[in-house]
Amino acid sequence: MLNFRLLLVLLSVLVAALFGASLLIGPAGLGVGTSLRALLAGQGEAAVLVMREIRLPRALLGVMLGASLGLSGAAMQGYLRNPLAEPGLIGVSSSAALGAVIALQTGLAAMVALALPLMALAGAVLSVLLLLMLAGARGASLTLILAGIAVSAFAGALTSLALNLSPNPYAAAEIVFWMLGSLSDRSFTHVWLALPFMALGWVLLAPLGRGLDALTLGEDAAAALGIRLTRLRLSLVLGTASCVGAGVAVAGAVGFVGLVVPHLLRPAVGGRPGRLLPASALGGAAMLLAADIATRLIAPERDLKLGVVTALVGAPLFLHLIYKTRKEGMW
Amino acid sequence: MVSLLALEKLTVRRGECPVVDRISLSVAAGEFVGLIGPNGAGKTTLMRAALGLLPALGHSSLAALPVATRAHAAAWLPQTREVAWPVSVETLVALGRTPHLPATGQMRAADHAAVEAALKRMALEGLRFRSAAQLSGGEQARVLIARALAQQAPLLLADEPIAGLDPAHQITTMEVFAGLAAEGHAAIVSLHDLGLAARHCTRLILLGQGRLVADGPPGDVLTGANLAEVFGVRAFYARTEDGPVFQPLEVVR
Amino acid sequence: MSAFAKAFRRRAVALGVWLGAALPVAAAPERVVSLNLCTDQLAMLLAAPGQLVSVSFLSQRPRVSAMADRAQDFPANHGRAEEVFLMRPDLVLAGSYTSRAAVRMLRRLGVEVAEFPPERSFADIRAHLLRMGRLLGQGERAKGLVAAFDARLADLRVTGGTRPSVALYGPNGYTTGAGTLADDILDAAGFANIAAKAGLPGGGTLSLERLVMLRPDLIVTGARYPGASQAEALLDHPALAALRADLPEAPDTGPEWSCGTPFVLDAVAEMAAARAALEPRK
Repeated sequence: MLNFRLLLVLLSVLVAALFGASLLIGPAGLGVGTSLRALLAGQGEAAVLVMREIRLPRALLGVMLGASLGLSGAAMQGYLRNPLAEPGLIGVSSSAALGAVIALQTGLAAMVALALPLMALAGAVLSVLLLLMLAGARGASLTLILAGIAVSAFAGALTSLALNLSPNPYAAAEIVFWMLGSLSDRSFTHVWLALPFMALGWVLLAPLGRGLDALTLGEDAAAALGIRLTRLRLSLVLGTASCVGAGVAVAGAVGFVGLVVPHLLRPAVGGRPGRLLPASALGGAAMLLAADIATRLIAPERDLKLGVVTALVGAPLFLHLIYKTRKEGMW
Repeated sequence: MVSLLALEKLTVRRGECPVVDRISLSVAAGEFVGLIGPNGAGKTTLMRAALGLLPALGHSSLAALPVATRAHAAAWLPQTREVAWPVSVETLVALGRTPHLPATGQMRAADHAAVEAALKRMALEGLRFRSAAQLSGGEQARVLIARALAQQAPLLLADEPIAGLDPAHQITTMEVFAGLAAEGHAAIVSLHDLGLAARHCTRLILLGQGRLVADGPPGDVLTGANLAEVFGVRAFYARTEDGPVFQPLEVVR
Repeated sequence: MSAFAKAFRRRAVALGVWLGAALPVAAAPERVVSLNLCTDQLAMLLAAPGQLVSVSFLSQRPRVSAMADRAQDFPANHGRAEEVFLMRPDLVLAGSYTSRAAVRMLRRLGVEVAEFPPERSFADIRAHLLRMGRLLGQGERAKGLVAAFDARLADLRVTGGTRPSVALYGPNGYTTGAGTLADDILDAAGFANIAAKAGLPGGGTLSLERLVMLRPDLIVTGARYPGASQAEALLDHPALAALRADLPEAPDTGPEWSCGTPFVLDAVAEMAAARAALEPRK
């Protein structure tokens, strides 16, 4: 087990390095010097526009979205005491996507910009509540995954329906965006739209560490250790929904980050769910930045979706986890 | 003597049927109370209701406390031995310090000392860096007891803490609880091994169908009539040079 | 009727269709149904009164159809075999990429179907006008339209002078390159399409970054559809807005850009005017 502070420092350095790489890599093929000059100084040139209005918001969103997904994944797993709990897999992301699509297609988002993240958040809250209701306080794996599949399928179907009924001919083709997510051509408009909600989510989830640690011993023991479970549950639901809802509203549903990152980092924090929260947030940011860079390197002209890359890494791991969980008799 | 727990007509209903029926009792410092009764007599429910983990009618001095204060007054060891994540033994025991930590979660000298004492008391020093996920069932049970000890609450409530332990560890664990009581704490422990209960507890509380049937020193509670009525068994009970000996013999119903 | 007789009849009809396509049309079709936005417009321009029975629903939508008003006079179809067959057409007009299943089914049912590929140049417009004229028995009228088209094109065509660069920037960052109707429109209006300079001679996805770095003299985008899409949301990107803030107002690519009909000349005229407006700035 690594020293916890050292781990956080290392992860921060990694995030900073990937953030830099994200700023420097792009189809315009600017040199490093030109890029940095354009980012920090200069006015009105094309390179300045590229750096400040195209690459900077994209890299920032990568950090924000990754941190949100990593954090909410770690928090959900800690609360449900189940390593398979992931916003994407259990249908929270697809429900948020449904909310976002409804906001866009009804024209609500065009009237009030905030309607987009708010509706996504509402979708996420509903699905989390539904899951907690179905899977129970201690999310037994089978129930959790089955409930997740049902919620995902239902939300996905309604999303497709809304897009198919749209008067806009391009909308139907965008089911894939809402299911796989992308950061391409996101702008500061999206950053400002998502940031307040994500920040709210971070503020709600970050202090849960102690409660989640205590929950290692079960609900009863945690309650007897002075943890107010009702409050914890409320913070968890709202925090996860804010993080995931805001993320999905601007970048679609990127899956598996909340699964892979906590899983990889859990041994490094000695299995402690509380310490996993900040570590996962940083790790999530790193993974998302890396995945976004990969989409640009693998197929620069094709707008490869983020979710494709994260799923390529995440899905095999998911299968491995199911196999392991089954062997340990948690089903 | 300081009363650590006072129950007044505590009642828990499941539907119309009372699972715990108008139980009044009080536990003072220095007592090691064995909570006995057949399956479904309401032992677990009584303890959880007393802690305020279940909605109940009547009054419980613990349940009346705010959640954070209650954690300083009583420690609770549930029957299900749940360890959700592969944390180290030391980390797990340190969870018992949760109510004592400041907002930052930083462990201080007193906290480290309490964890050390708990590990030592349960003879777990050698396992401290082991992952809790790799322990045997018995080891895990002892680690969880150590966790409850580290909480250093005046009152410890434990639900069948010695189930599944080997005889040596059953005896040492009972001695740990008795030791706690001797130090001026108190323990309420539910158990099915009436022999161990008779030998180690200072007081037994016998529950039958949610009602308090008998409450007093082991010799007064484990009478033939009580055993026949509540457990439906006949037993051998004697005070010997080695202390009281109790052995159930046959079913009488 | 026995199964054999049915099959024979179907063969006979198919043979008739084949002969009809190969030989000059003896009698003009009397019930023509068109399934495609572009064949709709060609047919509406050329058909005799009563000859055209139905056009596609898209033709009635002003957002995509240059003849939406005229199309209101015809019952609309949605390109499905069943509804078309029940209209008892003696000629069905279809695009070669649309309603494929319906076209196959109609042929199986013995209906004559004429397919038109999308027009990729002004030359295609002439050819399609003449072909449609032959099919509908309106050859003379078609020749007249072609002559008028050529005359107006010669009148509008901008030659000489500098050729300012223009980017056609569509949803999803799609830019149109050479070998398309849009490219011919830009060329006739005196513009150089930036797709070639961007290394996408045949068109393709042009990243916003590259567009910003290329700095075209004019950016032309499509008019927006109702309802929202991520594809079109790209056109709201602040970087694109900043780029366009320095450039003159450009016309949208309207419905006259989408089909090879004489209406493309309206687009040429509009673009030529935009180019003229650019001149004093150069």
